Amino acid sequence: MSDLYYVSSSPHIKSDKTVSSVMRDVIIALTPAMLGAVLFFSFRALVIIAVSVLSCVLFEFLYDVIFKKTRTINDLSAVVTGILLGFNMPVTVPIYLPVIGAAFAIIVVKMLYGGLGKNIANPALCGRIFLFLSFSSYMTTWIDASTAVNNTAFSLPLFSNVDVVSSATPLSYLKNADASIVSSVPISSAFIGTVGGCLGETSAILLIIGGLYLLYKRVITWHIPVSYLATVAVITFIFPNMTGITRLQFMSYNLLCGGLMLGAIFMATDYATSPVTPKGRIIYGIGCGLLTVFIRYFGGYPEGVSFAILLMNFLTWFIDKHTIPTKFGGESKYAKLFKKAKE
Amino acid sequence: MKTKMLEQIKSRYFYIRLLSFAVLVMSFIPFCNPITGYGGTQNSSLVTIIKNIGSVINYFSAEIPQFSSYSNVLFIMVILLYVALIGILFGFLLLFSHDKSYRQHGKNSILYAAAVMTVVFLVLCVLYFNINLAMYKFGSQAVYRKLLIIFRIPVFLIIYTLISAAILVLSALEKGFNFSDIKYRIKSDLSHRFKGGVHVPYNKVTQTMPIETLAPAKVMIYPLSQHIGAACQSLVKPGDLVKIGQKIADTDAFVSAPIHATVSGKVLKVDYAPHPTLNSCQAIYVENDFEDSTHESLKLTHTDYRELSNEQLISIIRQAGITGMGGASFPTHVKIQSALKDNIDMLIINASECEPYLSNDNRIILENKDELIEGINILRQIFGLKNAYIGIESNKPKAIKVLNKATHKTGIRVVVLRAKYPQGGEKQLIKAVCNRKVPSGKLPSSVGCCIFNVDTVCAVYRAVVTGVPVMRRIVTVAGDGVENPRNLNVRLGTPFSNVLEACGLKEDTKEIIMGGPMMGVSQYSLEAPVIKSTSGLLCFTDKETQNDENASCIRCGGCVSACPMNLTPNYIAMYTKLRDFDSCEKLNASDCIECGCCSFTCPAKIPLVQYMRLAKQNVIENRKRQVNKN
Repeated sequence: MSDLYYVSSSPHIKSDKTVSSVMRDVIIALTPAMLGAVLFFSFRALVIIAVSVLSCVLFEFLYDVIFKKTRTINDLSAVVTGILLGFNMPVTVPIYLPVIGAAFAIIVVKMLYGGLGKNIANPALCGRIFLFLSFSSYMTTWIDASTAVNNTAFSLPLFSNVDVVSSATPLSYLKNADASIVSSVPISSAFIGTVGGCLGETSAILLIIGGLYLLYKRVITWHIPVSYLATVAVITFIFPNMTGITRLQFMSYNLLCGGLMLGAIFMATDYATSPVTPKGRIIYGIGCGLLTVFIRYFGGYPEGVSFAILLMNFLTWFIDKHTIPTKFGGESKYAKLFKKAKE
Repeated sequence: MKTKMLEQIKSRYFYIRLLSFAVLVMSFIPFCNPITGYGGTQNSSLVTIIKNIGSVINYFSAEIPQFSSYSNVLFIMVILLYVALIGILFGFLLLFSHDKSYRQHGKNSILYAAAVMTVVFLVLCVLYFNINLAMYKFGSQAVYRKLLIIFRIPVFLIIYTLISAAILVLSALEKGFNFSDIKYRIKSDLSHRFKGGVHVPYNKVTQTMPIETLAPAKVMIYPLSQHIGAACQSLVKPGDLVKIGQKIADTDAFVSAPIHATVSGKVLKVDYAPHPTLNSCQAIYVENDFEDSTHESLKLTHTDYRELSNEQLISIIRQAGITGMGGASFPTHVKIQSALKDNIDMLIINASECEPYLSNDNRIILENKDELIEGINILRQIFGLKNAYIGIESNKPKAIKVLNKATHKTGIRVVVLRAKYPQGGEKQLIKAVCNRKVPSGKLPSSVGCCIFNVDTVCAVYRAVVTGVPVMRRIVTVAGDGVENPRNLNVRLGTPFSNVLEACGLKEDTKEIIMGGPMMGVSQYSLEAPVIKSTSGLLCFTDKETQNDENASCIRCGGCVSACPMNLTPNYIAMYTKLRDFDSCEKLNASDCIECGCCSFTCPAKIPLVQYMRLAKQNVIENRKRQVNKN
């Protein structure tokens, strides 16, 4: 009887957390924003997100089959990438665009590097940038969420190209430095999401709800979102780039408009491409914030979030290497330096 | 009839039902307008809401204004959504409760609310197709305003915090006016804390079960190595007769402790036997004659321990074979002697028992508190200290109460700590009790602390006051594979099979663990005996044994934030895979305490502790090699 027992190394119990449960939590956290996208931009939004998710899962499955790898679609990470990629598109894009983006994100950025956890850049983000550079006209045609609901929501065709009068996002108003147009968009609507922009990025409140859920579930830590948002807030408050509106207003627009909330809560916190040490996460968040503001102030594009996060992604391992936490009961690097200097 | 009603009132859910109804009623407040008696308020400041409370009555009496059918649906949906939000918040509040059934209710509440929310959102989506009509009839502004009601959460958060406080107080009242639960929780939150650690499911089923005595087995096995340090040599030969309390094995080495017979009978043989932690080891087999005759050495040579010198006390402790009962089994007299060389000002008693399932220390406190206090007095005499500290986790309110009463005006302080694994780790406990950090690679005495386990202190008491050496051990037998989980008073040397027989081992048991589930050792044979460091025997079935396939690291950083020693297990595991032990050394792999937090928390189920052990071993070997070279 005795030789039938199972012998293993401690610990003998493990938490319920698995890779797929983590990804499931991320999907749950993205649901409010997804429902918001459907509410603000009609059902076409749902179709775009669905196409993006399906093609992400399909490409990962095909890659696994063709290169004879173990099937990895069960960990749901492709679904998360799909939703995030869909969130990064305007409602008016042709329906084949998410498919191209998914192919680039999954095959080139994720699978060729070795799959989940080994990619050096966020797949959804790279997919977005790829589409943004290749199909810039499609990717920058915004319609206002309220106009979408009022006039065109039901007439947006699913499978043919959409011809609508494009409006700009509040961010592009900021770029043009036109105070009168900027203040025509109330901050409250930017907070709730009834402004122009990509599908998932308009509603700050729904994204924040998702972020709070992730924090509650301990899927993400506070370090990256807080340091990212705080950096943007502080710089835009102290050095506003515009006259005609108050500092507080300028800061609020910068925080609530564009992809900042989506980027800070869901994109920058992507596990594989962010540092693992607490100190490193804060440095990473501050770096993202600085780059975002600099691109918004001095760059050619109105939006800087995706490029900022992508640039910081490449620094992840470097940051990690230099922010290894001081061991319990050990001396910190600075204490050692101080001692040396004293000697 | 009357008693039934009383029962219902007494039942724990009554208040919750009452309160949830109150919440429902209150949730109508924002929709009520004093003038129309219906519809959204212009601004949702607290003052307006208080003003509007009176209009709840208005809501029922006033004429319902005309609505278009769409906006009616919209309105109902918004109300439903609101109710669902309440349900979710309410559920989340209940999730923090101590009571399992409350948590279940919380989960149910969230599930139902989520279902309602989904339906509502679907209906809202459909509605938005036709919203133009509603806007035409009702004016777009008003429709949006109604939607905005959803976002007026802050005001209601205040209401909910008040309600949740009320629920906590009421639930405390129900349990016989017992506020200690909450008090200890708050107290523990105010205490010092260590970084990292994980919240494990405690599963302390045996916490309320009294200690029962187990009869000794026919053949008892005494392994010659039951402690850290040199193994003992047998003092008896096959065929010798031994009596209870007779020293049967000892050695001259400094770091060691003698072993005593716990039954009377004949020595059968000295042979290899399965060992709970060392695989196999030389052991003395004694056949029990069930006469229980005691050996003459059990007599006391002194009348009052207060007259004894430190040397005498330490030699008594050495002769009684006392080792640390927490699990590491380090000889106690060695610990005391090395601690006396340093300047000790903190005597800490470890009662935290952070390992899940185990409840032996808790029972010892509840049943033998006088032994414990007297044992602490002996230790205080040795170190010449007026004070002592007992560190205990907040999830044992009964034991805390008992200790508080027993230590009143004795100079012993009970420090309530947070229920977090590994609170009982030496360095973590010191950090939590007195906020001192033990430097890496040094002993607790370097910061003036000395730690003893509860059972060790009791053993010291027994050795010094009654003259009985270490002969028994309180063992918690628990897990799904056991029919009657309980706390047993077991004589050392009893084979595991006898212990488990008494508790009813189920057939589907898959894994048997000596110690706690986080740091215990799985057993390959039930012939292994209970030794001085056996604190529990856990029998896990398929349900509890997790043998997940491990995925690749997703770099979530969970292990880094869980590590109580502030290491980076993911990188150490990576370098170990590459066999780059120099990098492991740079990452301080040798500081790992093998607590298992990283493996527990890893979502990819990577056996990080095993990698850490490998790295640790190699780093230490490399160091030795370099020292030899130089």
